[in-house]
Amino acid sequence: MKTYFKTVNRMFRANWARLLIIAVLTMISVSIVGGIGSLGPRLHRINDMLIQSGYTDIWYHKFLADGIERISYIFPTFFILVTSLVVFMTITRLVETERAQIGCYITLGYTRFQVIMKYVLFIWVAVFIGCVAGILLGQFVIYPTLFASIASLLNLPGTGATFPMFGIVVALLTLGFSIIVTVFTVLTTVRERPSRLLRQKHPKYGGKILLERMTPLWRRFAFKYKSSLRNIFRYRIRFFMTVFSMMFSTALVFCGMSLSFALEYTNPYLMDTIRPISSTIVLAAVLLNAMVMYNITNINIEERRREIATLRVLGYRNSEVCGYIFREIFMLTIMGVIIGLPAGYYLMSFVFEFLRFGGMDFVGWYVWVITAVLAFASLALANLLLAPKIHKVDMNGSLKTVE
Amino acid sequence: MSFVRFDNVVKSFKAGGQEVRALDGLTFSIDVGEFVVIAGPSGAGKTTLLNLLGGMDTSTGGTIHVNGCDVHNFTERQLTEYRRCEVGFVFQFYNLMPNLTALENVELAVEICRDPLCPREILDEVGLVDRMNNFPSQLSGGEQQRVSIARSVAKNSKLILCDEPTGALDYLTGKKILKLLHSICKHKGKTVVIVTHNSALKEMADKVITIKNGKVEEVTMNKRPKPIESIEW
Repeated sequence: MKTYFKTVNRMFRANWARLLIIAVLTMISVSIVGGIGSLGPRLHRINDMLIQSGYTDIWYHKFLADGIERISYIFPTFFILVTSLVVFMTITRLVETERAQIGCYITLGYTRFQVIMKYVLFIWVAVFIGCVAGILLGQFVIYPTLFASIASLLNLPGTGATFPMFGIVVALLTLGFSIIVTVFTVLTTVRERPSRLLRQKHPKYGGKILLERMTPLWRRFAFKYKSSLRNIFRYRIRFFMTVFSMMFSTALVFCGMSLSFALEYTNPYLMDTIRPISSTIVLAAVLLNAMVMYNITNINIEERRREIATLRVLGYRNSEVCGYIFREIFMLTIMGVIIGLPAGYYLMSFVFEFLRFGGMDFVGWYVWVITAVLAFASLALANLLLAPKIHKVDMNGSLKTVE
Repeated sequence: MSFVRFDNVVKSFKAGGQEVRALDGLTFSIDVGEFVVIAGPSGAGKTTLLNLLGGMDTSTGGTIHVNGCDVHNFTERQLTEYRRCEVGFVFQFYNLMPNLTALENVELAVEICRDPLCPREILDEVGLVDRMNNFPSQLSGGEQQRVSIARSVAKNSKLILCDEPTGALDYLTGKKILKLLHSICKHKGKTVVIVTHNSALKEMADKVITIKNGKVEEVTMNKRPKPIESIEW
């Protein structure tokens, strides 16, 4: 098995960037969720302590503790979902590039289980590192900071020391989901006949999209948009993933923002204590979104090496080549934001209901605008970081192979 | 004054700490309207030559003159302009955009050119009038290569470079493609340079430049080039 482990080692080294992205993403998710999640139980215990010492006037503390606890139950779902999505995308791409290799293994007699384990190990390491770092970050940075600001406002007694139970549970769930996603993704490839794996995957393109049939409308589109639109609607999986993650992130940002802004009108006392939490959620959502956008665009560029190289040979300038690639993501982002804003609104009204915070009427128009702006800002950031990668695509190498 | 002139061109790479010279002092010239075949064994440096001539790479030493310009001194931006206006490239594996139709593939190349030819007309000339709205995956190898050639011709560049244009095609289709390239050269006055390891094609060229070990081994002029139909291999 020595050589087999050598290949696993090489896979890690060759894909360290993917590993890093997943680890950082997991770390952000787990730290935020764990940090916020530890607040609720802790505040409850302080309340119990206060009751035992004779305080009777702590309805407010109980209300707060309840509210925070409820917040901390909702948001993990989104973070775990987005992380699983990114894991899915990454493994799909990884398996695609290693298709022929997998075919070789199966042909040589390695079992499906052994092949799957390779990728499970990869994801496991990435997510595990992220979880550990996330629990530590949540426990020693996020939670103390949040607790300190709440404690000072409410004059709470005692220390904030607590065991990161919540963080650990979320970490385990994230790990579990990631592994399940990985197993299923690799399983679909590994189940194919080895001969098909060794042969190249036949091209996906080659037909008109639905929009094209509306000829009068289609004719209006500038040439460059036609190409992007076709790509968007043909690659269904990427379409859904981008729109979903945009949607979740936008909804999250919308939630976080409207929490702050709404409290300004309904319950100013709560505002000061909830604000650190909601700004943390907003920050995390923006970061998450940027990373997802980065990942999607990164994979997109890798898959379209040949097209990029061809454009450069034809004499397209770098800015024009970048536009060709980024136009698609931009359009997908718009779609995601259009779906995400109302989704965020409905999510928020559900959350407010859950938290018994009152109505949504006080959420100003600027919340919508800021949310949209942040979505595009994270996209712009991801694009800026990836433009050099497009420039680096080697014309000579990318155009010679059969693929 | 020749149209293309390579003078003592050197292209070296660093591979594993050692210097590898793909081109080691290459000197030759090509005149306007010539149909040139660059022949030689694998690894001789033919593709490197074409990459330098096509502005896809920069030389390490020597000078390259094309149409009076010092290509070896070009910046990134100048090379991009050079590829845009002066050169049309035809690859062995076609390299069409998979999500654009044949017509759109040609339009894509032509959109950025200053003085292009009409894409529809060129596609008609290469015999694809009925296949213009098909995607590459719906076209045969020969048809895809013809789209690739139409793409290069429509750019209306003076130079058309082909890297093993018939490498992925069967015998008969390959011959048809070569005939097409030859007629483009003679009837449109383009300079066509074909890189191939098929030495039978030497007979159809006006000039044959044989490369070996990164240097020019031999330059032959054919006073009477044979038509492709009569060449067998």
